Amino acid sequence: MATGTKQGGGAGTNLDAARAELDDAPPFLSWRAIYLIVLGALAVEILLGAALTLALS
Amino acid sequence: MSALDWAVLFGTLAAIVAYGIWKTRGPSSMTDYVHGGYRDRWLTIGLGVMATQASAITFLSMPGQAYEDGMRFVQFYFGLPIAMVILSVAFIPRFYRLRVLTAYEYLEGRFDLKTRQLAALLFLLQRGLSAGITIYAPAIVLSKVLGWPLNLTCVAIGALVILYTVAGGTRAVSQTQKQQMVVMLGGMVVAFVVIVHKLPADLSFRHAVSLAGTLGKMNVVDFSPALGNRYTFWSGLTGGGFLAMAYFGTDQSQVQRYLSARSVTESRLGLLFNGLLKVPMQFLILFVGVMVFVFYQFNAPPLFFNEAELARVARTSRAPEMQALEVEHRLAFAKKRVEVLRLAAALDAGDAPTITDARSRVRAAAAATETVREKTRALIAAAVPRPEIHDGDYVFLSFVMANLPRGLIGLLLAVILCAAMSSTASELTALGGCTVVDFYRRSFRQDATDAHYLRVAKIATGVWGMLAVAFAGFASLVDNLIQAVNILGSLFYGTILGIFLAAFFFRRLRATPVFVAAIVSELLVVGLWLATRIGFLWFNVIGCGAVLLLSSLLNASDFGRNSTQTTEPSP
Repeated sequence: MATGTKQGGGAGTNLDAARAELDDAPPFLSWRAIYLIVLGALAVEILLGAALTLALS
Repeated sequence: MSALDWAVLFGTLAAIVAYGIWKTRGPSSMTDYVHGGYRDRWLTIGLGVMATQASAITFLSMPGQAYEDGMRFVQFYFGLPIAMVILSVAFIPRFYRLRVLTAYEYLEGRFDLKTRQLAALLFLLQRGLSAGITIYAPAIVLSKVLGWPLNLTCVAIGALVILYTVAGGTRAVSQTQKQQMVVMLGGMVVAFVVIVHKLPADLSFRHAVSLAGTLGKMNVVDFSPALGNRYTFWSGLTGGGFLAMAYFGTDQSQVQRYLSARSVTESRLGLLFNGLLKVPMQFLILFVGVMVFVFYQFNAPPLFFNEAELARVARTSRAPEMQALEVEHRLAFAKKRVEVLRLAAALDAGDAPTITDARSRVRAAAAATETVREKTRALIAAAVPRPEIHDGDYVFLSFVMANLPRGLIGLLLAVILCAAMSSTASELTALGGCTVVDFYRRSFRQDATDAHYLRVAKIATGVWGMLAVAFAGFASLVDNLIQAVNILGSLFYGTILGIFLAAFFFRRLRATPVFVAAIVSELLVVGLWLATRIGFLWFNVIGCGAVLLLSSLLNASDFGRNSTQTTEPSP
């Protein structure tokens, strides 16, 4: 237990299950798919940036 | 400024602050003050982390950076979406499971008290100094608008932000950041539309971008591997990624934002929202700067954008030299404008050889105007004491004040002040909260009431605010504000991130090897910064790597064998 942590943190997974803030269900698809969407968007942005640089510089 | 501008400026700010006060009325607790409790939805978190990162510097300095250096700064953000994914997977669940108030609390459970307080101390050092720069940036704006002395304006802004922050804490900050972010993004979109509208009617948008490319401003992605080159694809992806991971994962001003989410899911979605929007948002802000640059190819820019420095030179015996430079600048601009118009006509005609010839003529004419600006800098440096020879931070503000219509000037100033309020307020609550949770409550007084800690946290916030105002006095010494903030962060973040990665992923590492490795790594990074010309983003990688490597070596040699914790702390 981290000394000085906020009071009320219970021990063990039973109490964890009762803590609403520990909910980590994905809102749609799966977390892996959501992460891929974010990284895919980055890849598209980099490709567009490289194309702009190549075309205009 | 017109009465309409003042009305827009104060109306916007007053409405946001009043909304924050109304939403956060009622009793508060230490948890509320430090991270706002587990209440917020993902959109509030996403906009909150973006608003915390987007300080006034972002809106003042970035367009100026693009004006001088082109789009390449956007590469700095390429690592951010990757960092958001890693934080979502590895950091958020751990922080939630332990219900920590600050990120550094986690380190005591995993290692020991000295490692926790070392990380907290490094945070306080770098964030305290950075807060000075984030107060200085809006002070530039108001001192220019109101004609007040810059130091007095720093004190006035610091006092206002301290009052606003101490009164509301993190809860008020997170409630108002949504509105502030909407004003910021909306303001920049409006500015972009107005700037494009102000370009010559016969210049198409495509040709405006092409002109910017001719003059080297559309350098979005650079794959060259040079270590000394500050902004490349590689430094952005790795150094920028490490910096983003350290900033969002271990800087309390950000950790407190997403720990206010009502669940791990909401917290993750908020960070991923930031990961999706950040690169396009920074692209837009930089592109505004590039369009300002194109605007000034057709309309005469000032000789030097920081006109206060020119006024200082005008009061010296070197004033005639400055007048001569102004004449030289006007002539050089007139010649360049002729070449720019010729290029625009060639682009319209689509004749390739003429375009190539016109491009080289424009580049030569641009080099001539740049030479005059160099001479101006040299004159300022020689003529006045403590000269400010870089004017990039004044480019956008100068453009706004001289060229935007009534009402919009007030809106753009509101954007800058909203950004200042949101980021500085987050920084000050984080500094105050960390001081109390990681030092005062942990090492000096462990048995006081929640109300006592809340009171001390507010006092600590006020003290940090006053220190930040004092640090702001030195901010004028840096060349470029946004670079200064990022250099400062990069000097410390690598080490802090190394400590956290050691805690999360290297279960066999003991406390004392990590503690010693962190101190040695920090000294190494500062030494390299002073002695070499390595691009600053690499310090994040070097600091982090040095902590992991050194602590592994020390650990293997049985150094600090008596260290206690070796496993993940239980909740």
